[in-house]
Amino acid sequence: MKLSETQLVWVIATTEIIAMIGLKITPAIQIAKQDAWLSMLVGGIVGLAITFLAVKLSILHPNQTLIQYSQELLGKWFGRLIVLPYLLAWFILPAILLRSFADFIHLVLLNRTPVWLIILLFIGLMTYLTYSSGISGIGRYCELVGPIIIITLLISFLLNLQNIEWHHLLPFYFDSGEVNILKGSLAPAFWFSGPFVLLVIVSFIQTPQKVLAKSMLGVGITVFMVFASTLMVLLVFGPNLAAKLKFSYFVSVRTIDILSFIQNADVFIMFIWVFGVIAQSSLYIFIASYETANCLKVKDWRKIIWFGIPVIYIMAILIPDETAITLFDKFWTAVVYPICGILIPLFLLIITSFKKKERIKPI
Amino acid sequence: MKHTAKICFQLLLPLFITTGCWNLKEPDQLAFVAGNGLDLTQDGKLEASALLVTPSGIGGGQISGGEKKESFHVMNTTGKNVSDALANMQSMISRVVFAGHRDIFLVGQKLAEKGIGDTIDPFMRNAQSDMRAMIYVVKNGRPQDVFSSEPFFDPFITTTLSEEQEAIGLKPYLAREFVVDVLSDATQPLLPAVSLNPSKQYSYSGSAILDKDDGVKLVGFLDKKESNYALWITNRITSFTLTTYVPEGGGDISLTIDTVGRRIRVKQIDEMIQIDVHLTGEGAIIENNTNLDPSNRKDLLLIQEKISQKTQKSIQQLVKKVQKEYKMDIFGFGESVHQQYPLQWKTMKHNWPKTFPTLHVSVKVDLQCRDSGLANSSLNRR
Amino acid sequence: MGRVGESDVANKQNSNISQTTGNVNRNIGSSIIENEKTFKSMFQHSSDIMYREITIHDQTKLLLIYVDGMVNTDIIVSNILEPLMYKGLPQGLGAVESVIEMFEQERFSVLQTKKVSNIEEISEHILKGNLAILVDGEQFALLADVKKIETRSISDSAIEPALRGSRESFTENLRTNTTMMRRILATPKLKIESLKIGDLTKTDVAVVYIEGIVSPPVLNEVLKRLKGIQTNGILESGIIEQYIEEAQFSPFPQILNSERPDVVAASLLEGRVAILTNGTPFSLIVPMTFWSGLQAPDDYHQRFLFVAMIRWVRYIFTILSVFLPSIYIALTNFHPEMVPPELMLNIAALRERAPFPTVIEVLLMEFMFEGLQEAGLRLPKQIGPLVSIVGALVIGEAAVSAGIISAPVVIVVATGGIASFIIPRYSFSFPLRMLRFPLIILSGILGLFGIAIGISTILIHLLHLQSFGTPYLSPVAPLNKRGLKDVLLRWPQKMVKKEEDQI
Repeated sequence: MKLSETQLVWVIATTEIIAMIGLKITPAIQIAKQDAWLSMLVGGIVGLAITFLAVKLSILHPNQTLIQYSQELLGKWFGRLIVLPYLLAWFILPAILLRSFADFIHLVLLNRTPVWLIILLFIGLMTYLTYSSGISGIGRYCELVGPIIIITLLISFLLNLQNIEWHHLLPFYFDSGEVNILKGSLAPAFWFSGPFVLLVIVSFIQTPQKVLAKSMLGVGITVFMVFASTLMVLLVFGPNLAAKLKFSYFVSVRTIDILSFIQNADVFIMFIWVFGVIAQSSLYIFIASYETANCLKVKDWRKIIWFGIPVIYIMAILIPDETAITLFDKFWTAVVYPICGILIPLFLLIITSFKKKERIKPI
Repeated sequence: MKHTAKICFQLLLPLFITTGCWNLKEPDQLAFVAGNGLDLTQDGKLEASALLVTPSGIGGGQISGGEKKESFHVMNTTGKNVSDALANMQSMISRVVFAGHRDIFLVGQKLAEKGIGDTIDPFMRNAQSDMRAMIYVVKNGRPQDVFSSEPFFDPFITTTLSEEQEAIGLKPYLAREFVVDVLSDATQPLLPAVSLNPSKQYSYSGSAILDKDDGVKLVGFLDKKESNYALWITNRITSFTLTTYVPEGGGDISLTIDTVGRRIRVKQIDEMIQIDVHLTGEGAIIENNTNLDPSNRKDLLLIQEKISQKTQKSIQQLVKKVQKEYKMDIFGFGESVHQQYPLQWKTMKHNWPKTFPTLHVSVKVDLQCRDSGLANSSLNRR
Repeated sequence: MGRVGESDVANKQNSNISQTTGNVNRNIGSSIIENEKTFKSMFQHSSDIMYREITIHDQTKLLLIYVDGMVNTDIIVSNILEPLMYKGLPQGLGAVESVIEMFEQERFSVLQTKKVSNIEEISEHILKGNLAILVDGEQFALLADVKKIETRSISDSAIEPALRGSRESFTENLRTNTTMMRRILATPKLKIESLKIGDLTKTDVAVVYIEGIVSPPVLNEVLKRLKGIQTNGILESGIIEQYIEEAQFSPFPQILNSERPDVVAASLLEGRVAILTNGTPFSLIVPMTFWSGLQAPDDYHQRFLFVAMIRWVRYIFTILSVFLPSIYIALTNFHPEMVPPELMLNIAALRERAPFPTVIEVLLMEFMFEGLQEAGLRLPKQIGPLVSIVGALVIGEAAVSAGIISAPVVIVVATGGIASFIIPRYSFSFPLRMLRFPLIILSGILGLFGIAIGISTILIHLLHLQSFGTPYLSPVAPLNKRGLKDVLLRWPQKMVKKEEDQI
């Protein structure tokens, strides 16, 4: 299964843009108020740095995924142990994602359709995509769907221009101060580069010449779109109202009213959200299955899918409500990401450079 | 692998057939709400009214038989709060209430005087609510009376009301802007008002001042002219007409202003805040009953100066009146201070309602007569 | 006439073909009497197989076998019979070994001759219009090519009319078709390999490609799959298509078919492989992409701007034809807030009187429309217009005035139907028509979300569909920038580099 570099860009962009725009804008606005857009930019820089770390690590071990090179570096048992939190994350995340999104659809669009059916439909599509063509299929899907998402978002910005008031952005900086701006940038920063997916999928690229540049490009696109969406939300609603709306971007699209003809266009946003969620969850389950297969030395990773899917489905159903998800988010930002996203890759990177030095010595 | 796909579909297919479609609502199962009203009954209970549209009375398609049904219907119910009242209303109607195309919110004067702060929450929270409705206060009247009236042009009143503001030259005041104002730091909401006009029709008749710090209560009304000025300061107006008596010319002259601008500058002079409001406008002369000739530069300058001065005085008076009588910052001066002096604002924020009446506000109006229409001096032989 | 080999004829003997022709490996003997008996028993009950015995100089017995109607009797008489009967055998045989060889070398002024001894082969050749000459005492039969078969003359295509381009289309004769190809591509690099497929029909199939441009793996795959076909008969190229395509259960065709030689030539120049079949004017072209199904052959013959615009109109209408009915259902039943208020009230007013739910109405109308299309397809010319009038009257006017169907549904379905006619290739309009129905059902259950699910499913399916190794959606996915420009805008010919291969 191979992935091309352009597909890498789109995979990163597609899987992250939608999740962030849908759910992560309001928390940032709650903390940083009208400077939330600045938080996004700051978070973007941090995200780029983390991406850099992850990709550099993966490049040093070409064609090897996280499990493979962690085992190589740390030995069989410790290598597998250290990867365990990642596996857990990759299984839990799709459940949370699916549940949040299905709840959203249930709330806004289909309030009588049972939630489990919505999740089931997603599961079906995810399985279809992942099972039939693995990462190359996901790559092609993102290549096709990514530009559509971006174009739709841009059009929604354009159509909303008549509703914006620039003074909603003022005053700049003084209300929040740098502390809040940085606090607001923390959560987005940890999501921009995706949950450590880069540690795995870089290995699928055949000719890793410009991998670093392309991954940065993908993250850059994500940052830009999220920043622009945050800006739009602030411009339309102002910080006070936007902070109170759970799905601020979505509601801001609802305000579009062109000639009384194009109204309530938020349903089209839902469209691209569906595409994005499918891409995202397929990617996670692919990585989860693939890495688990590597970990347990199972030959065919596809078989793990049959195990993973019911697990995810049951987890998604069992989540009681969204406050549980908020708790998990806090846990993620405070504990999981710093460890898995920063410390462990850093650790592995250091070990890798030691080993490289060792190899260079006897010449 | 094809196998997988087939299996996936075969798994999902029976679900569809056996369970059915839950959210499907044929259009003839919906009760279209064109407008909602909130008011207080005689004994102080919250009353909700709705303007329900009966589509078959409107037309479209061939309707055999000449019975012309009414095209709308007004309903009232009471309840503990907005959602309660609306739920009671639903229980009296055979179809599902559909508010997606709701155009108008009306707030009765009685309720406004009590305070509408409690009714704002469902606007934004309800996932089915829309963002494009306009909001009015009913002056000397009740929402259901407004709804029951039959307007000139449209089948029901909500269309009239929702299009009226734009026709008059105002920027439509949407319900969500109202919510933004309520949530803001200092600006007090200024809602458009509707009441019976001399030709027995309900139409725009100025604005209502609400005090958001006190449960969003009605404090007073501004008439149409005063509202125009107030909206000029808050940049919510696009065009209006001014008529002034010019003593030097011995007559009056009318200008229709189509380009407006405003600039609010905050100055801090030893702890005192001074607000400088600079209003600009550009327009065309549409009626000239003076003996001045606008094509003559001297006369033109005179006209502009006189009109600007007169208007300036009126606006200054209005600001004073609002400061002294109503004490509500409907002009957004607080926001300007917030934006221009953010550090000081942090301390001033809490006291702003007290500071506002004591502010020094200076108004400067600059009007330009861009053209004088097709004629120059007055066609009134003098 | 169903699938070859299957019919519901009572007591049909599913005879094992190879058994009766145990002659597969048998050769003829030297005795002409034996051979005559063999062939007469093989061709028993066939009155159109002719036998002619000749004795030359009272010495050598000859037997001529041919099929009446398939041979050019003039040539037989003047080039074969006359020399034999009048000139006869020379005195002494001379340097040649056998009579057959002598005939072949010296006597017959016929262009193609062949020496065969296998009975099966001889009978096959006879049935293809060759004259078989059996000589007493020789173990070989001489086959002379004297074919003269009545076929349709070259005319213009009824199904693929050309706005601008050659009007010639293929006929049922393979040789005529290959001739047309040669006329267009006058290069020795044009290769025509021939195969025989089908046990009973022994259909001649030609695989045509341009050496140097064609992609070798595709060619090998084509040949491999063709050779692997095991069946009684190939009546039409469509049957070959079904045997060699990869995903039978996909609604999308993976092989293009065309009646026109200029289309085939253009495809060959792009590096594709064409398969011509005797007995049908429809040729197969592989590999195929999604976008070639939406292209008209004349696209490249017209000017750039015009074609670019038309191409986009086509794309938009294609989307409309698939999605319009389902979007109508989704919007009016699930998301009325998206429809402009006046329109919604109008529709609501119309729906007050309609007895059926929208979904049922749409399905009903779509069904009627499909029926109408099928009915109109094969009607004789006199009845055709009548059907359309009846259809319009019954469905359009009467149903709406009677209040059985609401007018918007008729409009939606008709627009969708018209939109589907804009697709230039008939075989490609089928998946779009078919996909409408599941989308209608999905949208009836879940509204726009259902449509989103439907689109995703179709997308995922298209993404991993392959036609002979080429991803179905290239050049859009995987991305190929040059190809993309052509798909989106039909980039001007001058600016396309010479060595462009689209595979």
